[in-house]
Parts: sequence; C-alpha cells; structure tokens
Amino acid sequence: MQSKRLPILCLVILGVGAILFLLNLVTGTVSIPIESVFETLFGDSNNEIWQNIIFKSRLPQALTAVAAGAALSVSGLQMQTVFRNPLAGPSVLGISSGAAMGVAFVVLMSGAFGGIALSRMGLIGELAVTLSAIVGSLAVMALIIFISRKVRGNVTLLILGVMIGYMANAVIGVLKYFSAEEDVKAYVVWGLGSFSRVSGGQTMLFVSAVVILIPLSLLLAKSLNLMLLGDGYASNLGLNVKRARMLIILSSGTLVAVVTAYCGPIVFLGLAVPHLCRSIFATSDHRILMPACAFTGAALALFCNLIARLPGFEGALPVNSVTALIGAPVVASVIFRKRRESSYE
Amino acid sequence: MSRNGRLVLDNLTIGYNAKSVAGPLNAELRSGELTSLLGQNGAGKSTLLRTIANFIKPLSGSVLIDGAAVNSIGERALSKLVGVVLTERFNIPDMTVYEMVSTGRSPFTGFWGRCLKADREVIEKSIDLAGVTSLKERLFDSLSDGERQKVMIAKVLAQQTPIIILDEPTAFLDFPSKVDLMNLLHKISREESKTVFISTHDLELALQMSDRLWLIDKSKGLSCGIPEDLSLKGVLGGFFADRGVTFDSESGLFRVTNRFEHSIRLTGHDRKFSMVRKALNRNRIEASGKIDSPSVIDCGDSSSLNLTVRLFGEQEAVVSSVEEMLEIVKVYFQTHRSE
Repeated sequence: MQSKRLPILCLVILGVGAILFLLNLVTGTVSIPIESVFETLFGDSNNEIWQNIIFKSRLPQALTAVAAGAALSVSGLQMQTVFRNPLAGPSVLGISSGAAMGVAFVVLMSGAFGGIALSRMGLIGELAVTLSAIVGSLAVMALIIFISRKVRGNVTLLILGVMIGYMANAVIGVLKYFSAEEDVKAYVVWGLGSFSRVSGGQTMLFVSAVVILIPLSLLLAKSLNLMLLGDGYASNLGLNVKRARMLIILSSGTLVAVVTAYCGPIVFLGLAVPHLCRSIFATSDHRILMPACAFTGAALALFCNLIARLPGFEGALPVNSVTALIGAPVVASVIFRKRRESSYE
Repeated sequence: MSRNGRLVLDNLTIGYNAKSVAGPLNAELRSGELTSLLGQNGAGKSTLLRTIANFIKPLSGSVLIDGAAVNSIGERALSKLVGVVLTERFNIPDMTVYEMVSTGRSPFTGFWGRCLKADREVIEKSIDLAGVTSLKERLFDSLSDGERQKVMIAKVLAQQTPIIILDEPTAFLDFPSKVDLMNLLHKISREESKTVFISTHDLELALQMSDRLWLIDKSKGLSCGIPEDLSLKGVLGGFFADRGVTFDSESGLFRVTNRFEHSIRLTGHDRKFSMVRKALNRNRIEASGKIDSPSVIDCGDSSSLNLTVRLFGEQEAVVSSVEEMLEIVKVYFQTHRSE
C-alpha cells in the first residue's frame, strides 16, 4: 500500500522543490520575469545586471538554502533516531554551540587583542569565521565521540552534550562581556543565521561538501533502522552499537558543523523536518526517511528563504526567525498529535 | 561451524561493575527443551540472561556456545546463534508488524538491509508459527501487550538462531495470554528443536510447562533439573519456604503458606472436600480427616451440596453452601478463643 504512494510523494516533493527554487530566482527587490531567468541561466541573455543578480546573489543563495536545509534535516533525523528522542535536533549535542564558541573567539577576541575588528576585514574575515566555526564544532564533536565510547546509556550522553552546550554558551557570554560593541554586533548578526553570507566560490565549496556528506550519511540507513529497536535488540541483531553510534554522531555532527560554519546556527529545520517527513511518508524506514528529509528540508529552506526575501522585508528578515515561525507550529502539532494518540490507550 | 547451540555455563560469575551477583555457576542448556529460570528479584535472573546474550561481560568464567565463549565470537556471528526477546517496551511510529518481524533478518541481509525472496519466506513462516498471521499489516504500536510479545517472538524466529532467550515474556500478560505464550514457546522448542530459555516469575506455569528448571538463589546458588526431580528431592520445597510459599509435593504445585490458629476435623472426599478445606485454610483453620477434634464438618456425598456442621457444644446444622458453613465456624471460633 505504501509502495504505491511513495513515487507520487517523491514527485510532489521534487516538483514543489523545483518550483520554490525558481521562485527564489524570480523574486527579490528587483523582479526578473521567469523567461528572463531561464535565458540568463542558459546564457542567452545580455542583461548584465540580471546576470549579476542571478549568478552573484540569487543562485548562490538558493543553492546554499538547498544544501543547508537538506544537511540539517538529515542530521536532525540521525540525532532523533540515535537518541530515541523526538526533541533531539542537530544542536542537541552542543556541536553548534561549539561552532558558536569558535566564532565568538575569533570575532570577539580579534577586536580585543588584535586591535582590528574582524567584521571589517572582508573575505579574510569571512574565511576566519568559517574556519573557526568548523574548528569549534569539530572540537566539541571529538569530545562527544570520546565520551560516547566511555558511556553506555544514550540519556547520559545526551545530558553531557547539553551540558557542554551550556558551558560553551557561558564562555561566549564572558567573551561578549569583554568585547567591543561593534564586534558583539557582528557576532549577534552571525548568530541570526543567513543563506546569503556565503559568497561566490565558497558557495560551490559548501554545496560540494554537502553533496559528498549526505550520500555518505545515507550509508548508515541499516544501522539507523536497527537503532530504532534500542541498544539491546540492535546488538543482538549483529550491530556493533558503540561503533554505529559513533559513526552516526560523526556523520550528523559533520553536517551541522559545515552548515553552521557557512550559514550560522540555523535552528528548527533539523528538528522539524524529520517529524514532518515521518507524518507525510508514514514510515520509520530510514532508507526512505533519509532521502525524504534531504528533499523536504531543501524545499522548506527554500520556502523560508523566499519568505525572508519577500518584497517589503527586503532581505532584512533573519532566516532563523522564519524557520522558527514555521518550525515551531510543526513541532507543536506533532507533539499534540502524539499526546492525543497515546491518550487512546 | 556446527549449529547445535549447545550452551554451557563454565564456572561463570555474573555481576555489574566488578560486583558479583551470582556464581560460580555451572550448567548446560539443551536443545529441543524449554528451560525456565526462576528466582527472587535481585537473584541475578536478568544479569544471567544479559550475560548469555553478551550484553555484559562475565566477571569470571565463561558462557560457551558449541565450545566458543560468547564474548569472543563477535556480534555478527553471535547474532546467528542467540536471539533475544527483552522486557524493554518501545514505540516506533508507523512500523508494521511485518516490518518488525523482518528486522529479525538483519544478520542475513546485505548492506542496505533489503529482504530477498528467501528472507521473505522465512518471515512469512515465522509469522505463521508465532500465530500472528492476522496481525501482519497492523501497526506495531497498535497491538496489545500479548500481541506485541508474540510479534517479538516471530521476529526472533525470523532470526533463525538455535538458542532463544526471553526475559520475563509472560510479565504484564493476563492469565490466558500467559498460558498461550508458554504453549507457543514449548511448541517452538519441540517443533523447531530450539533451545528456549526464559526467566519468569510465574511459578505455576513454569512448573507445568517447562522441561527443565533452573533455580537461582543468592545463598544456594543454581539448582537445575526437571521439575519432578527437583520436587522429589525437596529442592523446590526448600526454595521458597521462608517466603510464605509452600510447595505442595502431592500436587507438585506451589500454594500460599497458611499459619493456622484453629483446627477442625473434616470428613469426606472429592472436590467438595478440597473446596471446603481450601476455604477453611484461608481462614487460618487447619482441616483434615486426621485431626482429632470434637468439632467435625462432614462433607457427605457428592449427590448434594449439603454440609453437616457438628461443633462441640453446639447444635448440629446442615447448610447448603461453603459460605454459610464458614459463617457458623467463624462465629464459633470467635466465641471459643480459649481453645
């Protein structure tokens, strides 16, 4: 019964995604007619302004949204399964806090000690932020993986992850307190998240990183399906639970680290999309859920980006506000539905 | 590799974090038999099962399957030797019974976990054997406790292991479901000639339906044997003696230990006799034909339900129910406390 619905659902999500992608190219402060968008894309247009807008701004932004949405959603699904916790998301293990701490160190300290505000340094500053975010999140992830090899219970690991997140935030708080106002603002803006920060060549780097990482994480589908049954059954069915857990955290953490480095901490997508996909596809099979999350996440990120850029907001609306506005009702409705179902028992 | 699934405990000491729970244990499980592990809470039942399934390491000694220690076999190979049904409950939304049973094929499927035709045949057969054919398309989350337990048994059957271990499979089930499940396990051990090993608190059922019992106790260690031998040797009787449970060696079953305050002579036979005795025992009145007492209850013959009550110093009374008899006797003993 499911197998008949599946191809239709896939086509619908791909179709919606494609339409949203085009809309992202069409709308903005300057409205470009759809025929001209195609002409520009295929190099048949001589309008340099439109070429500039599409190739330098809208296309990179749309591609970034697709990659970030897909990566965060797959990462969130992995976290929810490995911790068997519907409220787990990509940020739950403090990995994005680690990224934030890395960025805070670079952005806030450079002003205090180097005497130059990083926010004024252009491309080098941008690169420094990206690198520091990756270093910060990978450092936290290494710590988490080290702990995951020592502790048995998932709940213990989850609590330790949350604690690490708190500690990272405390460090950020101290750094902020001693920093120049200008740098604090630069840090806060980074924290709002954005799909437009990535520019030019870096877009391709980011997108190709995600294009490599997502198929790699799909390889964990069977392990994830077994993890659903709990550690006991999973290990009885021949799974090396500790190793599988480590690989899943590694895969999920790397995806979050990369996205956070390029786009800042994007909240809610990673938490909401897996729930959305489970209710749309009505399955718990990760061989279906993982690609479903990737495509749905990409589509939802494009949708959020579109709203953030609607005429009137002029691109001023931070992506995080939009994702939370859309994500929160989704999570709320899922939890409400769960509670109602369990009360039937 | 021979797949007999001969499981031997060799000087095994079990426990958590270097703290010993039980041992050294020496015993052997046989294939084609249903073995029940009995013991108080905290005696180490779950710890033993978890050690056999290699979830925890033995403190010393080893669990051997066909001569190889379980903690050296490797999880992949072990998953084809020992299958488990655990007590943990889980909610997996949108997973059908068929999908749940098919997870049992994981040790045999390839990288993506895709079930081939041969796998699907095993799954269908396991579902039929566990008697859950009608539930195949249902969602696992929508099942009752008894149905879930049977589906988990179908899953472990699909795993095709020579040894199946179940941790308290009858807990939380109503009585008919318990019997049903024990019957199923017994059938599996016989027809599939598997080693079925369960831990349980259901003494009566374990005594009636197990081929072999393992009694585990903190001080007495592990006693193994078939229920009747353990009964004749007095092992069963001694096992729960200090806990308000008496082993009735005549029926071979356990009953609640009664502490008697009064005694009365009871004559008669058949079902009526035993029902009257049961009612009196519950009210702390010892009753049998051997008791020398001036007060007598005569059950008469089985043609009517009438009972004749002749209490010392009182008038003879004939009543037609056990309840009425009890009323009279209770009032009598309340007024004659000195006896």
